[in-house]
Amino acid sequence: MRNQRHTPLARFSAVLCVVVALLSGAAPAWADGGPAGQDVHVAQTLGTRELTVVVRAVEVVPGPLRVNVITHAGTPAGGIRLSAAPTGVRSGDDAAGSPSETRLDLGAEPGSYDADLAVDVVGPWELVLDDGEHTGRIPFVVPAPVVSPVQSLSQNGFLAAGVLLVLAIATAVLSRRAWVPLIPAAGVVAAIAVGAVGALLTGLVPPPPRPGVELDATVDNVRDPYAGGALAPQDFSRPPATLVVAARQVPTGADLALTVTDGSSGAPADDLLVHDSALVHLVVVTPSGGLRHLHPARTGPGTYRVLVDSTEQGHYAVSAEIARRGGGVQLLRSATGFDLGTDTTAPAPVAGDGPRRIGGTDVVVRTEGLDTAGATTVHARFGTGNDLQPWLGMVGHMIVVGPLRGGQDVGRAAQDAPVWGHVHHMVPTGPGDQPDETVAAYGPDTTFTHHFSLPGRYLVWLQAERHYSVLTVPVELTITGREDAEREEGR
Amino acid sequence: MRAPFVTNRKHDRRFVLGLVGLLCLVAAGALAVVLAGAAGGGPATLRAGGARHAVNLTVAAARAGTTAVDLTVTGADGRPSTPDEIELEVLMPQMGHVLSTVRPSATSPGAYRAEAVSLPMGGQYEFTVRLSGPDGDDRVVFPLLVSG
Repeated sequence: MRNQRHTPLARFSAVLCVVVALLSGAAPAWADGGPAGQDVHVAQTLGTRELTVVVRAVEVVPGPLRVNVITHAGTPAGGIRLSAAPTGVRSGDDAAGSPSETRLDLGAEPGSYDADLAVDVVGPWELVLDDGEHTGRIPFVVPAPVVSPVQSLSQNGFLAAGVLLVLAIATAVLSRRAWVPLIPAAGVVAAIAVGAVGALLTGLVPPPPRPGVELDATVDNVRDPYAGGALAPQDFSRPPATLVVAARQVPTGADLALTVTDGSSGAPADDLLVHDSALVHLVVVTPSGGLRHLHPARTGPGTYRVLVDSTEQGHYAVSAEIARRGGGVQLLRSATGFDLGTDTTAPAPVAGDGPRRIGGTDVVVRTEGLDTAGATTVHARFGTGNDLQPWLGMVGHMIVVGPLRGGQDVGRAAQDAPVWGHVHHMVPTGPGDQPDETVAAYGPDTTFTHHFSLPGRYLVWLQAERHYSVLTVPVELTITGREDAEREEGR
Repeated sequence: MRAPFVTNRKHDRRFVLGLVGLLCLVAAGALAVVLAGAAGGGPATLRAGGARHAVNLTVAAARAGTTAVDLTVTGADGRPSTPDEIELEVLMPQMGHVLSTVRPSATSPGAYRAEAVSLPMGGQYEFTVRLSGPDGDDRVVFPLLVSG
């Protein structure tokens, strides 16, 4: 009987200790599982300017929106108009939000130029860059602080346990009836059970689909991404897209209008994600074998515009790398390319291994494994110091096109080439946000590995940024077939 | 004075156990509701602005089946707008299916109604409203989750 009398008190003490311990550690964790704010880096070829726009994460709504516009060597000085406007579909009596606008003067010196705008509602927004002649519209999402329902349940369970515990103690002291304190005491047990189950489930319940990434973003689903619950689809992928290129000759080259449509419905594909720091990576091979790696400005739903600064006459081959909402990167090769003039341009001579000087930088190229039997690696050293800047989030890029047929201008041969590839030399991963181009701390060595499945003559272009200038190094590779390689080894 | 929480009598124990059990059941029910998420399927009213018009779209039943869709269109001045043409397209973006394209009929100035719009299955939809008038064309897209 003695043990029986003391057991409840021991249980009570244990419960008290557990409640105190759990309540003391229960801090609110904002944005767990929700759309945590991240910087958005977007390259934009706006007219003759190649810009990198960094939309910094919004911490507080309403609050400031910091935008960095990074210019490159040769970018013309001048003013551009920056504006941010809410574009989200909303329900209920949500405020529509107010646009804000500012003017940013870009100097002749390459570097980062900063502007401050304001956002006053969460949800989808559009940042508009306007140089007076060209306009680029960059969609982005202003996130809301989000607590998962399970986490909220856990916090509320422990909170209720604390309140009920005080109530149990108070009724135990004040009540003359023995059964009265049992009610809040039982509530303490139940509330702790709820809190503990919620805490255990917090890591197990899958996060909701991310508005803007997997689902079309609206004000409602940004504010509460859990609201869709079981309604959200499990497979978010969308059909392949179709790219149509229309070129207009201008004195400096070609003014391209691009249309991206859904391959199934034919409707404008206005759901392109920023991947590798751009909405669209447009690769153009010129008639002489030059490369343009551009980032067309979004002018409207599914429409993009870009200037190609090449006056070479002949055929231009075009491809675009995109990622649609729902996942998956697609390479869209224009079936037509475009032509300028009626003449052709002779191929420019391209070196293989060895040193060369590109844009004031000594570049040394070395290749190994030039056959289809295994991996081919291209090493390139840009200068001598660790001063490469991350361009499009990478230390280096290698564009691969081939095998190229002889007897054609390079643009036409590239149009017919069966293989187009894009290889990266990644920035070493580290804590924090992605470094922008102001961090000149990488290289000088870059390495690119690619498996060539077909023998033949290829052109690859190595790209890296140094002193705010994007260096493009063409290299010719001759890939031998597996049998040739084995014969060579047997000698 | 009798010590509190002493449960040496059988009926006291049953009382406490029953009480804890009941409260746990209530909590489990709340948890189930939270995990199941919103049931959806009711009317959904969404608002959005195009370049020249603001559009309100009301889907009477946002669940698989047939539903009426009401539209109200206002101009930049906030007054009812009557575009020359108005078209509603219902699309499932994950599959790329255009499910229907209808021309809603005018019910009053700036108000339009499509009586029977088919939503064959649950999932993510896009209701696209295309307007054309003297001020120019507009295209407003409403994403909506529809329950099965």
